[in-house]
Amino acid sequence: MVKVTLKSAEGDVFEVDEELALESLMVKNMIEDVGLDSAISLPNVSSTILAKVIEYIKFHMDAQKDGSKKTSEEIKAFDDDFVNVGIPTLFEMVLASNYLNVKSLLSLTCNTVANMIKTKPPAEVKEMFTSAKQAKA
Amino acid sequence: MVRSRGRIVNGASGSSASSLWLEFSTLGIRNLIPGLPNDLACVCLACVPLWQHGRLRSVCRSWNAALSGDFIIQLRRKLGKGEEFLYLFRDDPSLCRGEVFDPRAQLWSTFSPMPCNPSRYSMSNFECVAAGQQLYVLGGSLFDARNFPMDRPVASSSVFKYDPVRSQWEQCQDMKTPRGSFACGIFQGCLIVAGGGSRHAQFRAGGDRICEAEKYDLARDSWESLPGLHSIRAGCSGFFVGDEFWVLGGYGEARTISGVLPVDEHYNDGEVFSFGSGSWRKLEAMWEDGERLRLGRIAVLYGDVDGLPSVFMLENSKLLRYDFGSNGWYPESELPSPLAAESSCRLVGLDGEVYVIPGGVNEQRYERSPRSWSRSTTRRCNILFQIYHPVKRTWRAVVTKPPLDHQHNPPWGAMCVMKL
Repeated sequence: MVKVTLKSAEGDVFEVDEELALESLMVKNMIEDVGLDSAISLPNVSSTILAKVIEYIKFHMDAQKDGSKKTSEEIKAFDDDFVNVGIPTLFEMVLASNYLNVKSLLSLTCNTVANMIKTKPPAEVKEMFTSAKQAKA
Repeated sequence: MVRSRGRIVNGASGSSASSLWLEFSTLGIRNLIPGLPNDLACVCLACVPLWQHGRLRSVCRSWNAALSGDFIIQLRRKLGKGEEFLYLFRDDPSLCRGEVFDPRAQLWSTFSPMPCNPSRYSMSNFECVAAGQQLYVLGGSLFDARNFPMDRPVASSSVFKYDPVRSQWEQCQDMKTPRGSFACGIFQGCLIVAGGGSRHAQFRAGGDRICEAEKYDLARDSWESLPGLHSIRAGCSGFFVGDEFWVLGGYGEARTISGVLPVDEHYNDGEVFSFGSGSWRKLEAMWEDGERLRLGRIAVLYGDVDGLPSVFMLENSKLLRYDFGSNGWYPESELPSPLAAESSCRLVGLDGEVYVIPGGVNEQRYERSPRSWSRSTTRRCNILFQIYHPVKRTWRAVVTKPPLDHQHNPPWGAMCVMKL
């Protein structure tokens, strides 16, 4: 199995299978351009977020494989648990999945933001996003 | 080595996408969601169900600006986040407000009536069809006060379109041939109508039938004649299978029983128009003579992009499915609760399910309390949708309260499904 080296914004190095890395269209394009020899640096993605994205892709690749025993309920439970994070982390995951171009993760995270918006009255929506910004600042 | 790359705008690629974002930049929105760039914030907003959008406009000025135009609607279409809505007219659309039903939230809303012509009245047998985010109302049979005799229905050639985002009606180019109760379908920016004629809403034997077909170019707003059907045909159902337009059933010549009672000669076959060859081909008879009187109400569900659609028909409280291979109708399921007036009910494919929508409201069933009985004629009545899921093969029922009074039992005017 060929390994691909990904380098996060902090300079941490992640070694992943090529198959897994190709799920990200952005990394796929990079590999096509520069080959597998050098590490692919991802200056827009922090180590914690990159680790989470890799965890997500890995789970879904395992779930899609033949002979996988995971039911759709388990996958949904994993997804729900995966995006059950604070707003700043969620936004970073939206940004990272857009940057790395992982369609399924972007769809999941954006839907999560939409779900947060849709159950709340307007004043709370405003409150939620402004307080998230202050917490980050 | 770090390569600089342009922002990846997801799902939206090509020149139309860039013009979409160009349009967005003219809205002058600074920041929709703090912490997210605007393009991603818009993707998040597009994921919110449409019925919530009106409420979210009061969050702040930039959300109002983003949600009030048709930008988000177009983005939803690009991302494949569109939701299906049922648009229906219960009566003459220039008199009666149109209704919209959201099947997920089970909410109703109404929209303004169509512009009316003062000398024309009592329109029926018109068709409506959704193209993109426009609703087209075509043709119909109506009465014209300038005609003699006045009680003879004439067919209308007028075409109107309604834009639900701007809440505006607009008149389009008239059809070349006036027609009502015809088959129509939409395919790749092209609207096709076939057959039809004029017909009285109550006294159905009169009126004429035609075989002409024509095509409307949505972008150019112009009609173009197509080769006519092989036989005169009105009251037929039409749908697209790939690039072929299928016209099923309908009636042709009328005869009378003992010279008094007029009846329509219903067809048991169909005709198919192929855009490739530009001609109509005959479809063999779908059932033997005497097996059934006429083609019932039809609903078409489109599954995969290239697969064959599922076509369902309602007949005697039974749901039948059309088999393309053997050109026949086979029983699929039975309605859990029989309909009071099946001739006026409608069948529609919505959100991957088949909705059976009763024509008249069966008041005895829902207005149980004796006190409300006397008022029931002036009150809004509940209406029961029976919904069939073709994959799970199960039925469910939804009781909703439409926004408009529905006192009598007129047949439904027309309905269609729009993705917004």
